Amino acid sequence: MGITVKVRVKLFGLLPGRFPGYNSKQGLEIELAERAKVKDLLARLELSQLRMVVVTVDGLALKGDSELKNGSDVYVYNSIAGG
Amino acid sequence: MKVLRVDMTDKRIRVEDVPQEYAWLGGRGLTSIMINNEVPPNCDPLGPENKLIFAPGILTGTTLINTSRISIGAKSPMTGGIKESNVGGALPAALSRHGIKAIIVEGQPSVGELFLLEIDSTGQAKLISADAHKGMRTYAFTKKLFHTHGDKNGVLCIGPAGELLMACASIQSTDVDNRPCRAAGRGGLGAVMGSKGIKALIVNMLGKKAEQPEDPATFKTAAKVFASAVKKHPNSGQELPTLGTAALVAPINGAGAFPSYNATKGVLNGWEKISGERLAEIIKKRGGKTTHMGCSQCIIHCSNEYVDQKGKYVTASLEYETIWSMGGMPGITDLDTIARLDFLCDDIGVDTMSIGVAIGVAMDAGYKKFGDGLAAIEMLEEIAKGSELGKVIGNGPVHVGKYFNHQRVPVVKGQSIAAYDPRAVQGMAVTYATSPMGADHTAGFVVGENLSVLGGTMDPFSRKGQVEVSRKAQIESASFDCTGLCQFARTAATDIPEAGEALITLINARLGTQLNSEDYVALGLRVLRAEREFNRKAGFTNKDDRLPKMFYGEPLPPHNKTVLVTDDDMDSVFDF
Repeated sequence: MGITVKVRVKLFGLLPGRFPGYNSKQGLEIELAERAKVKDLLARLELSQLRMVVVTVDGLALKGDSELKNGSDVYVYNSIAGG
Repeated sequence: MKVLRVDMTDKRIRVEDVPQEYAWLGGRGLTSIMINNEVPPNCDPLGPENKLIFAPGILTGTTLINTSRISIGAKSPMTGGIKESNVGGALPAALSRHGIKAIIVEGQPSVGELFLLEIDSTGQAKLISADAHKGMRTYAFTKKLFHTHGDKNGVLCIGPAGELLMACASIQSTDVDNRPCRAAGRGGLGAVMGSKGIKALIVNMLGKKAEQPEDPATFKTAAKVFASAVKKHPNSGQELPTLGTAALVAPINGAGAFPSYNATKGVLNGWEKISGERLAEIIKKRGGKTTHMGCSQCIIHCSNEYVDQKGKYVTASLEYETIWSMGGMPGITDLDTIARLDFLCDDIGVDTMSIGVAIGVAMDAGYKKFGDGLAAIEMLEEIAKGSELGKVIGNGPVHVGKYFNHQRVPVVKGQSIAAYDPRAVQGMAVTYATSPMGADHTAGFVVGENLSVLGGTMDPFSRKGQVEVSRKAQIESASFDCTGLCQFARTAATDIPEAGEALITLINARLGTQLNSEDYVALGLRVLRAEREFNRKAGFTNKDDRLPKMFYGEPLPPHNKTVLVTDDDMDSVFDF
């Protein structure tokens, strides 16, 4: 892999249960190809099938085509429904 | 099916056939269309001309899962417009199984008279004096009722706030464990019930089997498909049963959309202490229940039981909207305090959302400091006393703003917003502003469309497309609110095609109709038109379909955005 993007992913709701040994303080460190998008991250995490999953970086909710920046803390949440 | 008409002026109960006009209606459709037909729009909401209507949904009383819900409607003392608030629990299914499609309470008794309206095991209705129960809080009151009438009953009741005719008064519903912890909270319907002199509606659950649909075999097959989809969907099948609605605390704060400190910030400092994850952790550690069946026939179990450090019951269910209103708005980050406030609201009989916002406005005005949990508890206790301050808080955020001469009051048509700031989720600006109910998240929930990754392409800070998405959601909600199904089963009906088809099949099999998906949409349109018509006749204009100035003029941190949806946008929502 050439130039890459490294992000730290923190998981909420039931998502930590999908990753055995997940540490909520450390999160997951994920390395992706340069110019990787949110949807690429979700594919790597095998979360693409969750239609209403929410991803935020620095308090901004991102869409699937948003590019990830190197060094970002990415928060991933279960679906938004109910209330 | 029949309609009960209860005249509280002369204490007469009449049994009527269901007029053809109402034959295919249920729930919100029935309450709203009846109110538009029968209630003088300019009447005093707490006077004899107003009517309080209880209507189970179309599918309530059948064997279908998650259908024990009832709509309650009237002209609202909070908004001055039409109101429907629905609630689950044990009573709705029981009422429908007695063949009762609606109860219309009208007229008014003499001052000081108070009654129980009882439906016994044979379906007969009678009024019984409730003088002995005057002023009672709901937990003690329902305990006494179950002792005297037997525990196989469902109850809808009011607490002291309803008897004191406060605009935030709720109607509490008993859950499957006979606790009055579920609420038709919004719009002050508890005050209308109090004005009719009804302390409780009590419905016997014995001796009646599920209502037989017109086409039982087709109904049974479709009901299985629907139930399977609800179990299969990740939200209703896994997320809600594990963390409940409180799972929303993290993502809504994460997106900067959690109205905090009377909606002056979009993130609550210390939200992690009141998140769904933290709530589940505390409940588990103390031996409470992170998942619990609140309503009859529920298979989702989104409810929970919060217990204290000794494992003793505090409240059920601690939900997202309450965690926000009693946490975010007054800046309280202690779950024990929030749970206590939730219990007190249920016990006194007030809407947790409107009261939390009222407390937040009072704190913002300088009456007490943000984060002062004891002060919040004291304010709630004042409501039960009926003191001057209690009346101010109990009548809601608008009264609090006037009393303290404070301008920042987050309401539309007099009713407080919910737990999604319209500056950070512009689609909710449209729903709050234009719903005939006043600011109401359930009337057109478009948070997922705005914030989720794959579920939509909307920019939550842009006005683009927000009218269309809110309009669609408002129509769908108006249709769905007729069914008697829990909103949490709706996600499956929306996301899983066979469940959506099964829903139409179930309605047809129940009613003996041949409705299609277009007819289902038309039902929602019919309901919304009736509600808009009532409000117009009551004096509402386009100017009432606006948010308060704070949302247009005060940028919300951390994004520092304001509402960009224009007045013309708002006025185009009901162009249908």
